[in-house]
Amino acid sequence: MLIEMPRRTEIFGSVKIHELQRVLKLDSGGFENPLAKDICFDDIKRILRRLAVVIPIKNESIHLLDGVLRAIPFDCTTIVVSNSERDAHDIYKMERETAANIHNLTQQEILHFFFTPSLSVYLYSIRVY
Amino acid sequence: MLIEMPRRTEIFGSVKIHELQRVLKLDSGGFENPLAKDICFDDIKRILRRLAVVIPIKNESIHLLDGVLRAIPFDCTTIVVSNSERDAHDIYKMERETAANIHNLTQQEILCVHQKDPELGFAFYDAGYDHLLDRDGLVRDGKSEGMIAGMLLAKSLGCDFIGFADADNYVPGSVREYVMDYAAGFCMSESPYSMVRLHWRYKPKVVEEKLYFKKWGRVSETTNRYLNLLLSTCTGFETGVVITGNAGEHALTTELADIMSYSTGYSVEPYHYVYLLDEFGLKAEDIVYPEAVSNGIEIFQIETLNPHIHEEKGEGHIKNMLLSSLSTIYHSKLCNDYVRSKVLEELKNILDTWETLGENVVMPPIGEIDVNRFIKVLEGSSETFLRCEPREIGSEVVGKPYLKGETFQEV
Repeated sequence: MLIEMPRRTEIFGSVKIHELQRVLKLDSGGFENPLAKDICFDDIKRILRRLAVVIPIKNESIHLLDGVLRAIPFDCTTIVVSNSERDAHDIYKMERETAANIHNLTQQEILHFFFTPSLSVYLYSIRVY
Repeated sequence: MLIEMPRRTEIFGSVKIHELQRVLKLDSGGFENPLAKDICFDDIKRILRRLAVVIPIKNESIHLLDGVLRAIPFDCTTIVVSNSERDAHDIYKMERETAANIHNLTQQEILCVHQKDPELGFAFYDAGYDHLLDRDGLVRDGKSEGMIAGMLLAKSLGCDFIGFADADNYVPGSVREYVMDYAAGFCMSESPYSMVRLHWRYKPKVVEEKLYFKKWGRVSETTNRYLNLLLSTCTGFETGVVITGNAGEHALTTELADIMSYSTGYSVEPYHYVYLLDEFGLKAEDIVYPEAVSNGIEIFQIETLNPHIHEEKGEGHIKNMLLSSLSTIYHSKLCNDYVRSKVLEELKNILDTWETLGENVVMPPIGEIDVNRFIKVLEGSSETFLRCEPREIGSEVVGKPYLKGETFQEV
């Protein structure tokens, strides 16, 4: 990937805020450029292997979730945290089936959670609420 | 990339048409799966290095062109063939500057030429191919003519695969996927004569202030129906295999590009099918290309993961597209009276009662053109031709790319 170098960085105590950097090209050829940073695919892949993508969801179209799950790079772990309806129509069940279907096809690691009372109890027990 | 295996393949003479294959995931982990083909990134990259992407453009927004150019994978060569205005506002100059700017930043190989450049016309004339020239010796208007110019430039660079991308795409990420899909198709191909045609997953429209994810365009649905009818009446078995009759996003091997004839205007894409079925199908009379016949011609149809959002060209565009698409089928060697009557019935609201369905102009194959002679003329004297070559890795940053003719914007 070829991405602009930040032209300015604001330093506020220990916090550095870099100015906007535009993506110049989605992939690149490894050429040195004083204006841009060339990040090779292998470096990106090394990060992806250690990255989890969390998808919070509440009653969205299953088509959209399906597209999003298919687009997340294989090396990442995908975590779907759902707060969708489970009463009249069990939307969560459909989401889970979609995720399981994609896992079966791709073998990508996918975790799917629902906001259950047991999750609340667990969060309460470790004081995260 | 993880892509569905084709569930069925229709074989018609030497032409194999694979059923639609959906892209299941843009990348993959190398796991075996009986339902899907796993194509690793290295294999895709090997194809990309031999692929040129041709972008025919006419007065599109510079923002859109900029996005499309940035999205084309680095390993491909990009060829912009413009037929944009050069009078009141020199739009071509802006397009060229955009391309040169992106080359300076990325070092990707980019070529640009203007379709109405007299030297381009002369290069065709000099190479003995005047089928796309008008009375003034200029290349005629039309996307098909621009595509042929782009293919010759790709051939002059020694590319083995040629793909096409429209310049009016609002989503740069989808352009990148199209090029990867082309490469995936060629990875699956077993013949040097193959073509990859894309079917957009959705083409969203705004309906009652909401996005409606339309699956089929009006013209493509009709064209596909009649291409399938043409096939069905010839074989005696009904089929619905063709679903990419009007696929503007397509790619083909240079070997196949050399032996294809090209129709003008909006009929260029459906004519690919008609030509291949006419010349290499069950009822082909003369075998002009025995090597292609023995290797077979493969057509892959791939459904993209990304939806397609492009500029709307209006009703007149749709009517002309339908007329010229169905005209190619009507004038096919395989077309019988039944199919002809069905086509005329379909067009009864468009054609006047006395009007007949005119035949599209067809340009012969480009395989015999001496590309070295063609490129020599262009490089020697063209005012609009620009070739930005990548510098070697590790070399000093050069101030200007290789540039002929006009000025360009330095970054």
